[in-house]
Amino acid sequence: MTKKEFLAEFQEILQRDEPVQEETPLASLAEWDSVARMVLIAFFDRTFGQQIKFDAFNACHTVADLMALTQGGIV
Amino acid sequence: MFHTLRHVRIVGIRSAVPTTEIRLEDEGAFYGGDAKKVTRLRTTLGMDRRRICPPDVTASDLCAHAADALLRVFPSARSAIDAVVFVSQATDWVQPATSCELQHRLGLDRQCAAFDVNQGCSGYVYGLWLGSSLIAAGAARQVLLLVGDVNLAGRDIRNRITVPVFGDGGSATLLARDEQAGPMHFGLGTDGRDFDAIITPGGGARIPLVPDPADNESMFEDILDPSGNPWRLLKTYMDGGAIFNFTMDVVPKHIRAALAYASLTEKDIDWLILHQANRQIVESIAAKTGFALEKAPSASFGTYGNLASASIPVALCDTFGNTRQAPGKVLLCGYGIGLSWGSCLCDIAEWDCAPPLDYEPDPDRPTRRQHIERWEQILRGERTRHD
Repeated sequence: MTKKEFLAEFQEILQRDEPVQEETPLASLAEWDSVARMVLIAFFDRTFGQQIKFDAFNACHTVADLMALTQGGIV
Repeated sequence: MFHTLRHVRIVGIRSAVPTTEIRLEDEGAFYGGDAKKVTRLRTTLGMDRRRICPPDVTASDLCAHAADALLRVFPSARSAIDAVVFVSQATDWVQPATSCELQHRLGLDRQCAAFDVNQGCSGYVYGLWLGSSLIAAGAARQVLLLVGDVNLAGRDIRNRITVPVFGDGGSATLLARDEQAGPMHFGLGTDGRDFDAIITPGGGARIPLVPDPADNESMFEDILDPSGNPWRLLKTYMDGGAIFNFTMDVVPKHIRAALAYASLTEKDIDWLILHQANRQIVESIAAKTGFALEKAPSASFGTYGNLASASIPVALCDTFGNTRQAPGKVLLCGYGIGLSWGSCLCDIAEWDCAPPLDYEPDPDRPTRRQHIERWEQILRGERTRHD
């Protein structure tokens, strides 16, 4: 999927009115909580067949880091 | 390993929940008044309402209420029940087994075995398995399975990880020998490496309460995590991330294996009844195993909360209690604390079911203080146990 598509999807997952960008720090997103993580894990599984673990998010600081978890799935 | 037990029928089931209902919108203050967060909890996790017991009501009370309702329909069972099994993490007593007192309370025959099983979210399936094993082996003609849990996480709503999710519930299921009954396929598993992913650390033999009250203070102390949730050694601790990982790792694979063992596909199953951890998890498991969402109910979570061991039986009563139609081919799957999991695949062609019953306790029931005073008098020799 394209980066643009993912950013739209991610905004939807966070149920956020304002859009997010690649560089947006995750720490600045109030909606990026454990519920959002669960939904994103389910999304990655469904879309890319990848099972991301909760801990993988600890190493992610920006939205771009999240996209990188798919290892080329989002371009 | 998967295996099949034969000649066992699920005769009937009842469940009981307390009447006190807490609504998500009433607890908004504990999410910092963040209305958007509350909305997300509702739309994503499926949180809405839960039921909690008033003081001095325990899981055994809910189960006994459900059992009484069931045994009124099958009165001859009271003398034919050869075993009563109480599955709960919230027994009335450290000792004896609560099932022993329940044998008496329910008027069961004295030629009846009674024992407790300490299991949580997989507890109903474990109970069905144990009861069915006894019957299939010829060790019992009928088994009364009582499964329920109360107040596991405590009531301190400042802990937003556990307390707002859990509710209270109890159930009673009657199993009986029936040479014509269809097969029941079971598979159970355990991963004790993460035994402490959900745990009450204190109060058992490993971290006991000790005689000197001063040395017990740390057991009652609130310890705040980085997000401000209070935890306590004597209350349930939960590593949500680890449990979620485990669930998504193990449960879909297990369900696929359960179907393969029975030479079936998800299309052959009428209902996938999962432990109601939350709606998001139920839907994720259904999606990963190819079950249509209509076959995998999750509404019970929103109505009653996560009921731990009582989750599956209450979901069964909630889903099928209002219909005259029997469920048909069901796959039940519990998963969670232990970490443990279990599934039961069977065809329920006929059974006696009703919606979850509201439990109104006796307003004159003894209070905790009255129980304490009674025991102080017994120990001082001022009264006997039977006064």
